[in-house]
Amino acid sequence: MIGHKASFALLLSTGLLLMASMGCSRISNPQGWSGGVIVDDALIMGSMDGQVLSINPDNGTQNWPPAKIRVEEKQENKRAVYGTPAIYEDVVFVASYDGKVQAFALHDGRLLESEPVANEFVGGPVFSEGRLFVGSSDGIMHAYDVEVNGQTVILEKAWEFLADASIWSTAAVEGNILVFSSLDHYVYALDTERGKELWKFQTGAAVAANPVLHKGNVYVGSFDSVFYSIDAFSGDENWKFSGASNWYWATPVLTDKYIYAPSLDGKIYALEISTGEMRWETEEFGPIISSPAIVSDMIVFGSRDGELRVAELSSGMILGSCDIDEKIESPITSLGDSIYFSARDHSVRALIIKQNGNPDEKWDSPYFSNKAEDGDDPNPKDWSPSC
Amino acid sequence: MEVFGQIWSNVIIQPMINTLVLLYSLAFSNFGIAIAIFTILIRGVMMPLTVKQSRQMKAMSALQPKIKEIQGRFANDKQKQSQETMKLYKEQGVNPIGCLGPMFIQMPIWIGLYQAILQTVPTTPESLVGLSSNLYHWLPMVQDVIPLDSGFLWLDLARPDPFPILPVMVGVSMFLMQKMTSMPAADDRQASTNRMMLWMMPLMFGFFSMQFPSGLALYWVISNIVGIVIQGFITGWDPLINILDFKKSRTTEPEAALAADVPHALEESEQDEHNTDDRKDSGGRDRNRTKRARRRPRRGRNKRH
Repeated sequence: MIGHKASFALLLSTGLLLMASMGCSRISNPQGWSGGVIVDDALIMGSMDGQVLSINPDNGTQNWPPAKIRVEEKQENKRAVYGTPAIYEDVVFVASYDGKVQAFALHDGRLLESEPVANEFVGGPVFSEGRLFVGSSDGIMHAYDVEVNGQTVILEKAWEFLADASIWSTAAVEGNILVFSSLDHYVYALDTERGKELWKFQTGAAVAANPVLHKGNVYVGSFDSVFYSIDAFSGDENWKFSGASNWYWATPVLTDKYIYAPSLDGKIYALEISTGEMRWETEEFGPIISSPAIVSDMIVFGSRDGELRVAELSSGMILGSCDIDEKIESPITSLGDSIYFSARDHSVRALIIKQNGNPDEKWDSPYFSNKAEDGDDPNPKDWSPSC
Repeated sequence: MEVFGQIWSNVIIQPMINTLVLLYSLAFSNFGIAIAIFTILIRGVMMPLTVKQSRQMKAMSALQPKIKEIQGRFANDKQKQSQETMKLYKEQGVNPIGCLGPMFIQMPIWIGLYQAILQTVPTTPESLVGLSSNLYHWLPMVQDVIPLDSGFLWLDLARPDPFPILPVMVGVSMFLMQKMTSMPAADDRQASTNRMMLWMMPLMFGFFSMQFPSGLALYWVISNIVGIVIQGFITGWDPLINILDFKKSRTTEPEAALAADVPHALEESEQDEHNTDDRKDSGGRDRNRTKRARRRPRRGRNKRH
């Protein structure tokens, strides 16, 4: 008797538990972590709602209503922007997660072009001498010649290069060298003119971080928890730093003497740019995938623990912090003493970093792209400051 | 709640994720094969419980004639009927819900595996970032194979099967598994419960397979097949043969299973009992004495009331 009653109860509880577990952790939809670029008094960035935003960097109000990226109906679950937009001849270029290169007018947000190019874009577009470069998840680095005639944008394929796995990084260009990383464990250097491979450098694991190209050297971290400096002309290793205990994902920032490499182990490592010798490391915080920004003699970084921190550039000592209480994953954009970034609550925020390292709110309220999407006030009046 | 989440992550999710990643690297970077090996490992670990469950079932089957006799004897007194049935179970050392143990233990495995598959083969860059905090970075080979390729045959193991093929396979294998493990009915009510379970379980899991990542559905299919094989070797293949022999199954189901199982199981069970008695003769008597001794004070307490 108990046997079959219990069986029935078990059947029900199994169903309920499985349904509950399904509810707790669903197959996730992409949200994106686009960074911002400041041009002509406008902060241009992709939002978590699959829009392109133009915000006044002084007060946080929108210059024009958010422009939705164009996504096919069956690809609605790919409505996201990960890479930072690029500006070329008053046109905003965005590489969207559904594999399109989309062009919007800088001054009114009108969609000018939406070109299906690949299956997915995680990295952003980059321009050099009228040529757009963008890598896709099907492992192709695309090069397009771009012509802008008034309201018309023409994309003409120049070449493409196939890597062995997804390209999630935004490429870096210096002179006629294009450098990018791939999940196939390699860092590639191509000739921008013809897309010819100049060299490729093998790391110990997949590479999703954007490489930095500076004065003939490439700096990039890998999933093997090693940070590399590579000669941009020969592809030879200059040095490597193996002190981290987790992957590198965020783009490093640098000064003339030091490079600051954030890791998913929650630390930032300050390395001598010529030798790779560690000068300091921060204490361990939440995983960092957001690229930091240098403001005066301080470094500002956000992490997945929802905290934005300001550290002294010379010692790594934490000077100030602000609890955003939402994951910070987008790169931090800086202009003067101001920084801009987005957080997981669909907000775009602006902070002023004071001389003593304390961050202070710059706008009366953040800009919420989801509120703009719903037709509500994107700058809510009933908002209380985080810092 | 957060502490529970951390324990769940450290004890269930992380070991599963790292085992899957390690198996993936050993299985020529094929996540389908990694899940298959993982399933067999889990089944191997649970083998003692499965065997125990099968033996409990056998013993339960062997008791069916006696239960029917009790039901006949106390047809008008349901309470007495229930008491006598429980007494019989106790005397024979059978735990009527003991056979459900492996199913209870498998539930956290299913839920854990569902979450582990979602995290191991991330569908978005955000979820790949999340994977980094669940990997054992000291484990060799783990970093090399990230991100994992979730493709297997026509499937993306991180997403539900776009065709109903795997859900049907889950349903059919679950049906066969239920057929192999369902206990013979002692009365009409139990028979109808058995029939309900026989159809509900495959339908429910088939439905889940359409919603869940196909990696989990693959686990269910392989786990069911392994379960059927184990069950077949322990309790015999008769239920499966009866299904395949359609003509026979039409005339005998479910009684045939009972008829086929009971004498054999009873014989074995009695043999086991006999052997046990031979070995632990005095122990058995002591146990009976203890039971009687336990009953006496209870009666005394009742009298006082």
